[in-house]
Amino acid sequence: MAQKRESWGTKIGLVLAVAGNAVGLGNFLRFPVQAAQNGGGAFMIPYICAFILLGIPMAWVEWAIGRHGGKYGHGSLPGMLDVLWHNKIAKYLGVFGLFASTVILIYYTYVESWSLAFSFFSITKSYFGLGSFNSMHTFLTSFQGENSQYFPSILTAYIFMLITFLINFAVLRKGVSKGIEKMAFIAMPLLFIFAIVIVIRVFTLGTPDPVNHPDWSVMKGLAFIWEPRFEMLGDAKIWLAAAGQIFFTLSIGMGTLSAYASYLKPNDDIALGAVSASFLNEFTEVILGGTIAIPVAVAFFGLQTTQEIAQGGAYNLGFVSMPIIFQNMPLGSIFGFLWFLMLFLAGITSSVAMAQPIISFLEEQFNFSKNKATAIVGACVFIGMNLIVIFFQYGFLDEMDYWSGTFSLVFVALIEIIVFAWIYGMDKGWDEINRGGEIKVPKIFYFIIKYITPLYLLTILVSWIIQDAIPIFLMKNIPENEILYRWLSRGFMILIAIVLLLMIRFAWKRNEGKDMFKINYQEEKGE
Amino acid sequence: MKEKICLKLIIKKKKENKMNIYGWIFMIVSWSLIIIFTVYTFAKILQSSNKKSNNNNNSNLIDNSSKNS
Repeated sequence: MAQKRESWGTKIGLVLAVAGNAVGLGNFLRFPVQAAQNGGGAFMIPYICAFILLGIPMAWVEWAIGRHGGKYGHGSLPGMLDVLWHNKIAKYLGVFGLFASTVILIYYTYVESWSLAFSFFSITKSYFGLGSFNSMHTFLTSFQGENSQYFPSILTAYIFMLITFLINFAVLRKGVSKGIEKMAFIAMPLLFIFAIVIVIRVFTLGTPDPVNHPDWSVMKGLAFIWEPRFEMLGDAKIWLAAAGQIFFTLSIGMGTLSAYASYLKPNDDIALGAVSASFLNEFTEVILGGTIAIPVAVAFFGLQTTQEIAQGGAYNLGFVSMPIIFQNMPLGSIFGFLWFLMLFLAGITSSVAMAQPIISFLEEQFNFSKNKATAIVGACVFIGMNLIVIFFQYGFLDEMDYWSGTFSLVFVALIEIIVFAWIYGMDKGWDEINRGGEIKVPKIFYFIIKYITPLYLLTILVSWIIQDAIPIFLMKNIPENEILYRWLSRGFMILIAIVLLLMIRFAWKRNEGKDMFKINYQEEKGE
Repeated sequence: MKEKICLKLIIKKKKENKMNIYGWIFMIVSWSLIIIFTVYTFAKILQSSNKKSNNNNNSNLIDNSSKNS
């Protein structure tokens, strides 16, 4: 029997939900770290190029794939690729989209719960008095269960993980329009308000210690990010880092953009919607994210220490350095609370999006009700999250993060653009992007999508395989005691991939000959 | 003499603390473009949403009037 698919309540709701999907912890933590690690101003030029040549075109492609798949009742990549490319292999290629979003969801929800916990620790001033990097780092690792100096057990982290998990699945249970869209309407404006309040505070900091450190200032931090260093542009590493950041920030290659777009009607606009959500994300990342963490760190620790902090990674900046800064700021507990709550809101709008492809898959291919599909996904995610909490200190999460959150994304995007632009055909694809469009996509993007974006993606993938994937696969520079757990993490990911592949196989056998999707499409078109 | 050296050092420090002209240009141009595009695309979406809801209202009115007649 054909099921009536849900749809978005309003266009603004959809754009906010898609922007919420894209705006995540990465906008406020990963972006400043990448900028600092890759020469500040030198990073911004390749970043802007990657946004135009990779980000915007891929957003259009994913929205188009999603809306096209939605016409046939598909909200996840296996079905979407199957209707674009009538080949037996197409649906199996879609497994990578389901795999990436599901695995990322498992560990992202845990990381997101840290933000909620730290917002609570900020308002209760739990970490106030820990003014050094070492003590704050010990506080964080103690919270994560690595030592018992500040937290006797993992229980506190576990409670916050449970709360985060429950909030996520309570939203998902309500569905697309009543759950995700409503949450985006509340969370996104709040996120912007919090971010703007923090930005204003950062700008008014000036030079916090003019007597002892007159050259530690917010302006110096901004100069570090924005002064272009043309001599560094010859370094390929910076171009790769910028392209990678565009990938993460726009949530490309996860199957989430296409899952959201699948709930559009066949003649709804996607050209304007995709651009609007992408620019809203850039506003959050470049203007808000770029103005908070690095400038404030330079103002409090100086340029050299900030660069060292950035080398330590995004978590080091967000959960170790920022709390130290809040301790030294008037009304620091309130600003700390706002900062971490803002991160939590950014996180939750992304994590609900990550669950959508697999929930849609269960609903549409197995005819499960929304409640049943959400409960099954929730149970699986919960089991995975427990493994992460238990084995966190042994690199279990890092292993998942690389293979699903880094490598898979580029791989999925490459599959999507090849199927869309070369197999489905760029002429049909171009019509699909422009159908119902509120704006006309400039013709130059026809060539960019067909030639430049796939080449760009291929270059990134090959470089990452040579630079990172081979050494990571061979576990070079990994401590002895982590190797077993990292293999366990790989085993867990392989298990997820195999289960998903079997489910696709079973679903297609089960639905063979049924024309339920066609009926849906005809209903929508009024045929 | 000492005062002059100190003054020069202070001026140098203050200059070091500022962003150079290329930084300002790059930042202002990037921020402006992002803000303009964000506002423009959002305004367009709001406009189209209003249009659609007006059209829906009009078609409902026509439906009702035809039913009444």
